[in-house]
Amino acid sequence: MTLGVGIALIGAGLAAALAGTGSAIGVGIGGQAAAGVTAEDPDKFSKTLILQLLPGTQGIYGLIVAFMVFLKVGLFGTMVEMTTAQGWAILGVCLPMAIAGLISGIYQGKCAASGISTIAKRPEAFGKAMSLTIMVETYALLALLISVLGVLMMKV
Amino acid sequence: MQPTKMMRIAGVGVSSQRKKLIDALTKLGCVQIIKSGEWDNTVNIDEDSSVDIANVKLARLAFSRSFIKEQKSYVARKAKKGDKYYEYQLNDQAVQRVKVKQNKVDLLTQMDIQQNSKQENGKHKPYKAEKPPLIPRKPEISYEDFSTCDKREKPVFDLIKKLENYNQELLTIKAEEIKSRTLIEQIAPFVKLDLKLSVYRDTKHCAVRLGTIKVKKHNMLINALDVVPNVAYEVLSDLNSKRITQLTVAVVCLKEYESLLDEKLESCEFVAFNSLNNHKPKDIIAKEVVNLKLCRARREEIATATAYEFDNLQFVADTRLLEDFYNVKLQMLTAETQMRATTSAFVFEGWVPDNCQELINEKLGESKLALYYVVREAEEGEIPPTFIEDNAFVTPYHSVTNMYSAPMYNEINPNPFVAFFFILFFGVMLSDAGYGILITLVTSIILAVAKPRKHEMSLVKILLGGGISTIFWGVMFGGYFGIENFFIKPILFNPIDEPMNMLILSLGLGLFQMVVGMGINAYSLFKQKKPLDAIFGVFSWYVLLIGVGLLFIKPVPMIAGIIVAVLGLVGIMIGGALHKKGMKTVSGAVSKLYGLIGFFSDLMSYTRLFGLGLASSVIAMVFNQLGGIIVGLSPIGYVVLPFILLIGHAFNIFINTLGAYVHNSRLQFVEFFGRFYTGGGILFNPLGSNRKYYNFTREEVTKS
Repeated sequence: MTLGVGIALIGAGLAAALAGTGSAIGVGIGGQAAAGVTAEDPDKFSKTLILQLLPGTQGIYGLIVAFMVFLKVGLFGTMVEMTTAQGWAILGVCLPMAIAGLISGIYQGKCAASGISTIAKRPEAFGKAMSLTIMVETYALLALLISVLGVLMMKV
Repeated sequence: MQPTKMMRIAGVGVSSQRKKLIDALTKLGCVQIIKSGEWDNTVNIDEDSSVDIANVKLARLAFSRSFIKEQKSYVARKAKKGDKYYEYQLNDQAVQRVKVKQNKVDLLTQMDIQQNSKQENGKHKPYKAEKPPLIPRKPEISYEDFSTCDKREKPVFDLIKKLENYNQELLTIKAEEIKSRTLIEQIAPFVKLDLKLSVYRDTKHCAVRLGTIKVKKHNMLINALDVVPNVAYEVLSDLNSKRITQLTVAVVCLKEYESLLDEKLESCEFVAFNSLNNHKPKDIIAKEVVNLKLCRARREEIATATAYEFDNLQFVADTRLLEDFYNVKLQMLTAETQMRATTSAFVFEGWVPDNCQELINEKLGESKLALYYVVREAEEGEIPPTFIEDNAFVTPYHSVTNMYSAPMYNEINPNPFVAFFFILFFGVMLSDAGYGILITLVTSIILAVAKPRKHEMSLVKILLGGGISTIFWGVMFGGYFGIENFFIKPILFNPIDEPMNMLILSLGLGLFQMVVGMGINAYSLFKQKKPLDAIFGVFSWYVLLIGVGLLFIKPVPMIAGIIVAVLGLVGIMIGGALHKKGMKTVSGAVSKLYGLIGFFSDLMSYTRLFGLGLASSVIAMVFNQLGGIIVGLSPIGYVVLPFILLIGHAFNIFINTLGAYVHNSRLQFVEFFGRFYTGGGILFNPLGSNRKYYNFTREEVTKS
C-alpha cells in the first residue's frame, strides 16, 4: 500500500466519522424534544419520529463518501498505486462532507427540535416544520455532491 | 384547473323545523353552514345543553378505549416479559425495599380456566383475545342507522360505567398504596422498638424523645448531649452498617432539662417522631406490607377482568361509531348556533358546491319542510371555502399540497402538477427497480384489501405511485437491489459510472419543473388580466433561459446566445420596473436581477435528486459488499447472509423512502410553489363530515 492510499483512507474515515457524529448529535437533540412531546401526546409519535430522523442523513452521506473512496483505492479488490499527492487530493475532497456533515447535522437537529415543539402546539403545521428542517440539509447534500464528484472524477 | 365553483345558499324556515333541516343537510353532506348576517329583528341562537352532554359523552368514549388499551398492555406485558416491582420485606432487624422479579404469567388463560372450569377438564388451550385485522377496512353504515345510533347507546355506556368504576377503584387503590408506603417509610427506622409506639412519650418526670439524625451528625450528638445532665440515650441503628444514612435515636432526660435537651437536639438536626399509634412498629409494618400485597393483587385482578371482558372488537367498534356520531352531532349543534332566529322563524346561510344544487333542490323538496331559500353566486368580499374535486389519481396528492397550505378559492389547482412531479422525482431519488417492485407490491396488496375511498389512505396511494416510478427509473439506471454488474444493463446510464450525466439529468428535471411553475404563473396572470406582468415577468425568463441554452450549443455562434440572453435580462428588468414610479423603477428593476441568484440556487437544489439517488444505490451496494465479505470469511457466513441482506435492504428502503417523500415534498413546496402558488385557503367542511371511523354507504352519499 502506498502512502497516498493511506492518506486517502484518512479522508474516507474523516467523512464517515465527522458526518456520523453530526447526525448522532442532531438525532439526539431531536430525540429529546420528541420524547417530551410524545409523553404529552403519544399520538404525535410518528410525526415527531419523522422530524427526529431528518438529521440522520448526514451520517449516511458520510458513509457514501467513505465507500466511494474505498472503491477508488480498490480496498475490496487490488489496491491502486496512488501517489502521495493523489492521496492528499482525495482527502481534500472528502473534507466538504466531513465538515458540512458535522455542522449541518447539529444545526438540523436543533431545527428539528424546534419543529417538534411546533407540532406539539399545532399538529397541522407538520409540513411547514418539515420544510424548515429540510432547508438545513440542502447544504449537506451539496457537500455530498462535491465530495462524490471529486472522488469519482479524480484520475488515479 | 380551478377549485369547484361554490354557491352561496341562504334561506328562512320555521323554528320548529330547525333541527329537521339541519338533519336533512347533514344527510346531504354537501352544505357548510356559516355565520348568518345580523338581519333586523333576529337574535343569536344560544348553545343548548346538548353540547355539554355530547362533549361529556365524547370524553367518556375516549376514556373507555384508552383505559382498555392500558389494562390490556399491562396484562400483555405480564404474559410476555413478566413484571418487576419493589416490595417491602420485614425481618427482625430492619425493613428492606427489595426488587421483585415476577415470572411470566398468562393471567387471561388463568381467568379463562376459572370462568369455564365446569365445562372443561384436562388441558386448557392458551386464551387468545380477538385481534383486529392487520389491514383494517373502514366500515360502512347507512345514514339512517348512523343518525339513530344514540338510541342503542345505553348498553355501551353501561359498559363504560363499569370501566369507570374499575378506574375509580384503581385510583383508590393507588392512593392507598401511597399511604401504606409512606407509613412504612416513616416507621421503618423504629422497627426494632418492641413496644407500642404510643408508649414513647413524656412521663410525669421525664422527657422522652424519639427520632432520627443524619449519620454524620452522630459525634456532634454525643458531644451535645454531654452538656445535658441526667440524660440517657441509645442509638437503635447498626452503626457498622455502611448502607444507612440515618440513625434512629431514643433519648430520655429529666423534665427540668427538657428545653436544654430540645435545643441541643435541634442543633444536631434531630427529626422527632411522635406517634399515638397503639401498635408495635413491627405489627404496623407487617399489616401495611400485607395491604400492599392485596392492593397489587386487586390491581392485577382489575386489569385481567378488563382485558378479559373487553377482548371483543364489537365494543371498540361501538364506541367508535358513537364517537363519530357525537362529533357530527357537535358539528350540527354548532351549525345551529351560527343561524339567527326571530320568535318563530330562523335564517341560515352557507356554501354549497355548484354541482350539488340540483341534489339539494330535490332532497329539500322531498323533505316537505316549510322553507324558502335561494342559491346565488358569491358576491364581492365573500370568500368561499376551497373544495377541490380531482380524479382518483390526483386526489391522494391533496395531502401533500394541504400539508403546505390549501389553495385559495380563486387560485389554480396545483394538485395535478404536484401529482405529476411527485411521481416523476420519487423514482429518481430511490432509483432501484428491486425496491420499486417491493414497494409497489406491498402498497397494492394493502389497497386491494382495504379498498379505501377516494380521500382515504393517501400516503399508501402516494407510495404506490412512487413505487411504480422507482421501477421505471431503476430500469433506466440499471439499479437492482444494488447488485453490481447485474445482467440487465441500464437503459439510460449508471449514475455512479457517469456522475456528470446524472447531474445534468437532475438539473434538467428541475429546470423543467421550474419552467412549468413559471408557466402556471403566466397563465394565472393572464387570467387576472395582467398580460404585461406575464410577458415581462415570465416570458423574459424563458428568453433568458433559451439564450443561456444557446451558449452551450456548438454550431450557434456565441454572440447569438449572448444577445438573446441579454434581451431576456432586459425584459426581466422591465418587469421589475412595471407599476412603479420615479426612482422606484430603478430599484425594482435591479431587485429583479437579484432574482437570478434565487433562481440559480433553486435550480441547484435539484441536485438532491442525484444525491438521494446515489444514497440509496450506494447503501444497497454497501450491504451487498458486507454480505460478500462475511461469506468470504467462513461457510457459516451463508447462514448469516440472508439476515444481513434482509435487514440491510429493509433499513435502506425505509430510510430512503422517508428521504424521497420528505425531499420530494420540499421540492414542491419551495422550488415549485415558490414560482406561482400562494395558498392559505380554508377547506370546505360540510355538515356531516366530522367522521373518523365510519363511511356512509354509497346510496347515501351525494352525487359529487
